[in-house]
Amino acid sequence: MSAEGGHAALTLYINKQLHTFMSKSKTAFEFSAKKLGTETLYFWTFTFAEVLAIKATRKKWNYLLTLLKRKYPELCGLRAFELHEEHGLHVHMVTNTRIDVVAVRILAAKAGWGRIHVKPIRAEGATYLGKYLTKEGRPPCFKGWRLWAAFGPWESTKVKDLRFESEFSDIIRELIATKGRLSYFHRLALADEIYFNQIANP
Amino acid sequence: MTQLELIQIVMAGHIILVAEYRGGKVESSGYVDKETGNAIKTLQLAYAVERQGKGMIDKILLRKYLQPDVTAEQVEIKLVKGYVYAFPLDKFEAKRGMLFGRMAETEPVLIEQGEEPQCPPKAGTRP
Repeated sequence: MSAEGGHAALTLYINKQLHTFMSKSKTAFEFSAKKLGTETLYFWTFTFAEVLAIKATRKKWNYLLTLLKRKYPELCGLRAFELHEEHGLHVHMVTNTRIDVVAVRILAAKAGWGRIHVKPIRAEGATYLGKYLTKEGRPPCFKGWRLWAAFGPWESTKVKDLRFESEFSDIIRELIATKGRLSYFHRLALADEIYFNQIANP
Repeated sequence: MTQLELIQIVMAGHIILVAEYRGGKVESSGYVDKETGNAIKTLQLAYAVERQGKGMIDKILLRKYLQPDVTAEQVEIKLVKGYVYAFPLDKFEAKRGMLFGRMAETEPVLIEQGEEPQCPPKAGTRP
């Protein structure tokens, strides 16, 4: 094997892991999307003609949502911010009720929005919105932002409603119950040790 | 894999951990909605490996998240305890006195060594 050919083969040799663990927030989003509807949902996309600053976009979205809530008090849904590589920030919204797109376009024009697109989707399609809700994929300008939120009179699943279940978390819970006096870092170190031994000596 | 091949991969810029395999298992973890009881679970492969550190044995935990369509029965761990493997990593982190790594999609590769692995000495005996 020549050095050059070998290098190309070796570069291809290692594939990055594609599937990563879901964050708590993304899981909460998926649960909420499932709760929102089991049949047809409506997938909205709100964009601007020109690229706006992130803060300005958020302000315009808040205003539009206020207008929508005034006109449709029973409107329930989820929204997610998405930063496109070329078009800047745009907003996706999923609702479970059909509302008049012409009326929404009038409200959106009043709030300063540009193009609006809506299409019916199957309930499972709502989880598409969650694809950008990963910690690793989060652009730095979104630091401290809520990438998704629920609106309207319904109970969405919140992050605090979720409980993480794994063998490691079971060990931690057992240690809290039996060795409650241990400091946080000692407890974690001990749990690491126990977990390692469980794998090495099943 | 020979040591020369290993060096070539490292020189190509990949993160490789060479360590002795001690054990592994497939485990399920995920989130449960406390209100509805619904759960979203994912499978992951956990490996316990050891390497000769600075005068002591370092314990390392490696993880690999499996694709959503993979079941626990489909996963077969082919690594043999006591043998040294090259583990391709996506990233690693040292914390709490241990090393934690996330494995790349590529499978670990056995390092060719001259001799068979020996049994560890009995506890309490001097080598």
